[in-house]
Amino acid sequence: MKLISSALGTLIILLGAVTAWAGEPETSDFGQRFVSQNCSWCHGVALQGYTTAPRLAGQQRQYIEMELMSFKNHVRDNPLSQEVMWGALQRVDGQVARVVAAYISSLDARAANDGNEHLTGSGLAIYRDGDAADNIPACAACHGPEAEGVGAIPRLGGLSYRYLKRRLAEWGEGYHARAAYPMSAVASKLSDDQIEAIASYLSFVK
Amino acid sequence: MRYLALPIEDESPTCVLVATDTAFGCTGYVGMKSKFETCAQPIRFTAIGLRCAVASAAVVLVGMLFEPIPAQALPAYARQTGQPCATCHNGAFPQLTSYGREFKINGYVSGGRTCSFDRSAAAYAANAEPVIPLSAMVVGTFTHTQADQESLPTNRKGDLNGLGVNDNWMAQDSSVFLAGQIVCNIGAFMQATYDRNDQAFFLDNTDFRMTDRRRIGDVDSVFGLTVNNNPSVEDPWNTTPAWRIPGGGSITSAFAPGTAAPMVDSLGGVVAGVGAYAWLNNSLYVSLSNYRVLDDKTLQALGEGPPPGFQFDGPAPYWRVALEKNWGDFSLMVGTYGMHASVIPDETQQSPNDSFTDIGYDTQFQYLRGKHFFTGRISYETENSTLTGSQFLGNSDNTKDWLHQFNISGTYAYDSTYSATLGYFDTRGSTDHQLYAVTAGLPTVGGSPNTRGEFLELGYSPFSKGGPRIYPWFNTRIGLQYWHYDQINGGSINYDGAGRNASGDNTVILYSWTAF
Amino acid sequence: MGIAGSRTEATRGGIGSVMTLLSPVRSMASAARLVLPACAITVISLGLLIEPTVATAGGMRADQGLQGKTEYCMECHGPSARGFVGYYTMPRLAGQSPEYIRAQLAAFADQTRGTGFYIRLAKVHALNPGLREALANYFGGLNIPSSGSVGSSAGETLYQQGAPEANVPACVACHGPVGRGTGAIPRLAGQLASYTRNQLANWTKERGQESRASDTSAVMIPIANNMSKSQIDSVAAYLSSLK
Repeated sequence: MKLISSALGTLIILLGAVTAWAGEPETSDFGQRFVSQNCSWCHGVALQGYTTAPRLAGQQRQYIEMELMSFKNHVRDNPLSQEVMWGALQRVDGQVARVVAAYISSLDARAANDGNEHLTGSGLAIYRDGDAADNIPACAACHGPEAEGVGAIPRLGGLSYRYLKRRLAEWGEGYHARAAYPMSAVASKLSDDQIEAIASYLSFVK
Repeated sequence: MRYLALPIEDESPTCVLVATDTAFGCTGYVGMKSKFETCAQPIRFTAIGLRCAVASAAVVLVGMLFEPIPAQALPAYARQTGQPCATCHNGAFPQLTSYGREFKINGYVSGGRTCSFDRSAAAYAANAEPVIPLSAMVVGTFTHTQADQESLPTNRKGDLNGLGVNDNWMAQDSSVFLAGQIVCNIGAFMQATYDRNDQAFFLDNTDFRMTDRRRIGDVDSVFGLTVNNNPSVEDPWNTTPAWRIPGGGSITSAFAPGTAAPMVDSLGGVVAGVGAYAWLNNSLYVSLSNYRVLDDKTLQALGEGPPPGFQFDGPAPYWRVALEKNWGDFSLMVGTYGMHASVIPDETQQSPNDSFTDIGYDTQFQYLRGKHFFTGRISYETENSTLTGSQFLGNSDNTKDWLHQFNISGTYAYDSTYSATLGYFDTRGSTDHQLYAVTAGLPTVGGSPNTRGEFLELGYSPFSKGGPRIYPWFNTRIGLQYWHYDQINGGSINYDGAGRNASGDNTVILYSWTAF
Repeated sequence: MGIAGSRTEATRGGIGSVMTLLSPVRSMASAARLVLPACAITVISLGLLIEPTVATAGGMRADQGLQGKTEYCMECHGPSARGFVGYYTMPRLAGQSPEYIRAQLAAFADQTRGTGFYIRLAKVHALNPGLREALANYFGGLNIPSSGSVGSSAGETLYQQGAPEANVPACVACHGPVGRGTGAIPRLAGQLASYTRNQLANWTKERGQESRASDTSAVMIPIANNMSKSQIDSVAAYLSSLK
């Protein structure tokens, strides 16, 4: 009896492993499985972001691919990238990055909605028109009127307010300046209030 | 045939030529260009050069044992995920950060190979390097108790184990781990330990899991199955018995006085259980497991010491519900857990059953920003036991007993390197002389389980963010602990009837906790 | 390996209320410096412990001179004003005719050029008129090679000979043999293909001028309207390959 039940138990477990491997009804491709196992523990099951890890779902495909290789090649150098992302990407090469980026960019994105609601008006104004008196270009010129990004320029709409704030601050300090032209120059000129407003506004953009 | 050791300029600096015999077409390199590429060139065999080929193959193999490891390599889970230990532990090992909890809940497989029917080049490239889920750990201690031990320490068999009555240096625990992805979505945490004081090798905390992640409607879900040998070992917070700090999750003294604890804290290693859990929207954790006491033969094979003699009658469920909220740099968990068992007190004798119901309440608060990491933990367990069977057998005075255990502690870690922990523990229960003094053999003259005290620990973990260049897998914490007892088993002065005071068990431990 | 937080994390006054709380304390400290200096210093120090100090350039008065403004322009128009393809394509300004640039800046200022997004961008371009000449000369003098993209022989033919059957004159007649333009007529050589395509395809919308227009772009209206999509694509590709 004991032998049968333990054999049965083992069989159920193996069956479970294989069926989980064989996949959900939707897709069972490599990109989805790789991301589910290796990215979602920090970035969330649906890659909507979790604590300091930003939302990846729905991001521009080319941007993701570029950033994955940027982590792997130690080009992107802000503190959390060095501590977490460099190691996370060490086994990824260009082929994997391409497949992963294609999958991630196909996911639906949810807005973080964690900014300061009262600042969305002023944030929108800076985002859309910049501030000519302060020599701040309109973010929309590159990132698009709906903050959707294009090509290798990332989608900002709906990203977490805390994440955007931190990134703008890091550019202002000179991290990752060469590869992310012109973000370092732009971010250096933003005041604390302007960063608060922009990051808040963007966190609500669907 | 010549053997040279020369750095080769046109290779990376870590490639070293150790054998050359160009006349016979034989060369050999040792070293690593990168984590994934060795330098060893194919050794060309010719009839004349066979001696050279065999000899250089031997040199290469021997050389690989001592070759420098590049800085990216890290132990077990760190190796698998590519993360420094700090990402999941932030210098307060084994305290877990949010990411550490996610890694555990997701079944220890993150960063491993991806199982897929895909035969694309990308799929192949991602799985090119296997990661072997093995690790080892040594805890070396110096232990000083305020009063000497009353007699020379003995091992589990009762023989003298070579340690003294005080001021003992020892490799207190040495463990090997099977830790990480086993295959596909099956992962493991399995520890086997050699205990110097007991002079015994035994199966320590073990937790095998299989997990699945999917979005169901509006809910991001992780589901898991666990097979383990300790209620609450599968819990990702450091407030439940298996990983509580101080407690199951910290170094403890080899000479700590025997005290009473609720059932759910006391079953490690003697039970086996199967359970299922779900983690919903990174917020709600629910878990249910059923345990069975292992039979004597299995316990012996696993090195678990003398069999406890009791067995569960029917299901012995362990449950756990926790709600965690993350906002900004803060997280707060509030939860409850518990276990119930109807127990056959002695399998060799006929008696009514005992019944134990443990209910715990716990909370954990964390703040992590930049170099500052703080965790506050509180747990409060209540046990109500009906001891009809034990009383029948003459093992307890009372038909009903209660036992409450309270723990509160906080750990602050700076820059994932320096840590300080303060804790207070307090166990109170009904007095039962027969149960505690006689049956359990606890040192107590009054038969009360009341024990309380304070705990202080300072730690230095210099390699939490990455090991030293010469051996980058290396991670160690050097720590100093002070355990202070206000009361042990019902007494402060002469608590065991033989003149021992609670303060006599005040303990200072200097330790080095090293992982490979 | 990883250096977690070894540089001061720029928190940008993340706990805003703490920063405003400190300001009155500071002024109190200076006005009543004999009264509670130690207390104020302690409070400020505690505040700094909670909120690490930041080195921020934000909020300083922006440079309104030539250097500040040229750097500002190049943040959209690319390093060395070579052009930048964002969501919108910001055209190459390097080597452009200064007279043409001046005319465009004036057109943006009085809103005779641009629609939608570009109308709002008029603020960007509505610089101090005294700076327009300096800016135009600066960008006109930037001499950087074009991106050297693949040209188009069909585009070259169209550029040199026009398409008489479609009523499209030869561009070379006004824009010069190698697309360098002259005076008020812009240089096209090396211009980003996506910019050229967008302008030709949407000329009336983007550039259609009322008669009070300060530039002469009205001449392009019938030409651009007569060009087919494939003609626009090919001539844009050809122009982007010119040096």
